[in-house]
Amino acid sequence: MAINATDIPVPQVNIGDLAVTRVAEAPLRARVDAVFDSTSDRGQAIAEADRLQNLGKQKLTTRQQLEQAAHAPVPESAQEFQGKVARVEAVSATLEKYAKGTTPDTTAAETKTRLDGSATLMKSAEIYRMMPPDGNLDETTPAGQAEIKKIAGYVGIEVTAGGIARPDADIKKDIMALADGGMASLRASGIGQLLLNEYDGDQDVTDAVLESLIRDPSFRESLHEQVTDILSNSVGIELPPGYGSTSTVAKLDASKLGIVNDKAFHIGNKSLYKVLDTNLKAADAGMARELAKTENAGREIVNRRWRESEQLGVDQDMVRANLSEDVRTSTSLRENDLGLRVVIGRSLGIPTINAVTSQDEYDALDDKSRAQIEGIYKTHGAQIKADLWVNLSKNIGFRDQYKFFGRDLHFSDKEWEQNAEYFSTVTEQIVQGNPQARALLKKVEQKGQMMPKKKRLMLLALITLLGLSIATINPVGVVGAVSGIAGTGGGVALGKETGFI
Amino acid sequence: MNTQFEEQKDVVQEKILGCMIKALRDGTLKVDESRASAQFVLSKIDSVGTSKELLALLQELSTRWKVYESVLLEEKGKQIQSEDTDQIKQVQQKLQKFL
Repeated sequence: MAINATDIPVPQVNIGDLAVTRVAEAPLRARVDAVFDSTSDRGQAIAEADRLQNLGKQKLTTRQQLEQAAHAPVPESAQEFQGKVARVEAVSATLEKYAKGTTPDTTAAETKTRLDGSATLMKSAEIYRMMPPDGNLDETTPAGQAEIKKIAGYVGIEVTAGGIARPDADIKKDIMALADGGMASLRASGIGQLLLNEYDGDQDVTDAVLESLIRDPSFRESLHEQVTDILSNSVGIELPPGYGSTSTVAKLDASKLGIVNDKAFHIGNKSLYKVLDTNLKAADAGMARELAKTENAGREIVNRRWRESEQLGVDQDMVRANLSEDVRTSTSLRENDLGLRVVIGRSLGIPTINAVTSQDEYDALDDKSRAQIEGIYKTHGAQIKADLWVNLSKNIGFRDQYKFFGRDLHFSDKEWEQNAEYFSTVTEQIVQGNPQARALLKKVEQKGQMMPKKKRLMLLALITLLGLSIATINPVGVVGAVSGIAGTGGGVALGKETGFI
Repeated sequence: MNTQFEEQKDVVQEKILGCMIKALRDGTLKVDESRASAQFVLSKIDSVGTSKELLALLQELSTRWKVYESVLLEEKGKQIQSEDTDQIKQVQQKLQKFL
């Protein structure tokens, strides 16, 4: 019988099966992965296994090795680290804005410098953590090249330029420059001395000093005596005479060297991070202070358009015109508080702001204008919104007054009706969230109850009638009395009396 | 302090460490797990005074992190073997008396 090729059963293999087979080779694969992706769980696990095994070679007891395992560093991923750096850079960029603002702010500039130093320090600490124990990055071997790329990727040093891979030697140079920059920053800021001053049996501080001692000869020399004391007192390491001035770590006993290296690489940079945290906190506080200053100033500018309503005798028409214009804008462009942003921009005097009627038009504004508006909006937008409604509430009395005296209304009945719900909602929010606004509204409410519109109309009618009846007796005296009440000046006086202003 | 038992504890710690390194390499234990398990062992081991307590510690350890099960099984096996040896001795002694 003839056999066709198609009759021979062919084993079906699918990609999923192959993948399973590969997983089965995990240990070997994991080691390969570790070279390429040291920040993966597997890569970190392999590195930790290597570290623990090396501790055994350094004649540490099982107990000591377990203690080391208990303090295993759990390094963050490159992404997390770069996120942290990005945060530092973002804070720094904001500070720069204020440092180079219209009124240059020296505090912001100083805080920015300090923070930038910290970012370098942070990267430097990470580089030292990731370096091989001997501190040498060998760009001539595949392992060394992998280390270089690993570190560069972690701290964000470019490994390509114009789409072409950079030579490993160049990348290494950048890495070392960054690492040295961190140490320079340490020296410049007197951190080493600070660490020593703060030392009070704190192992982390000791470790950080150790790190500096090992890595930086000049640092070592400058602090030799104190460091020697700390080393011998706290870590129990006996240093040969003369250590610190000319010797290197290699003079230490081999088993002690293991302890020192391990501590310096895996614990020491905690203290560097402490310094960074301190600087970041200071930067945050500094930035908050700067923002508060600037944005409070922005809030003042916005408020100035409405505030004169608290005083009589100033251009009230202008104040009310501003107020009604701003209320109209903020109510007609409610979505995403676009109207409020326009109001802020208007107060800042941004020339094209009044033409903005949509989000797209707002987005098309120049970066500087938007940055100014957003800066104020983000920090005090809610407060400015409250200010607007508080001022509106304080001016409600004018509406009835002007209606009574036949003047132009700033808000038509239709407008009030259309926005009534929004007005009341926003006012309610103000009342709930802002004690000052609550007090103001209460005042308006109480005064309104004391002298509601109906009563005022009745009172005015009564006074007018009384005036007319007196005029019949003494026409000259009454003309003055009536004009004093019914004229504009009298209207304001009434407003003042009833507490609407 | 029972020196022999302390030595036994040292041996167990060594096995735990070996197990940890192997599991890290095999990818069955993550770094944070190795760290936590080492902390767990260090926090308990000093107060362990008997073989029974040592087994209880290993039981808890392997319940939390399966990778240490082999250490528990080995120790359990040893203990059972030791108990068996004792029982055999007792039986032999009884038999000798009987005979």
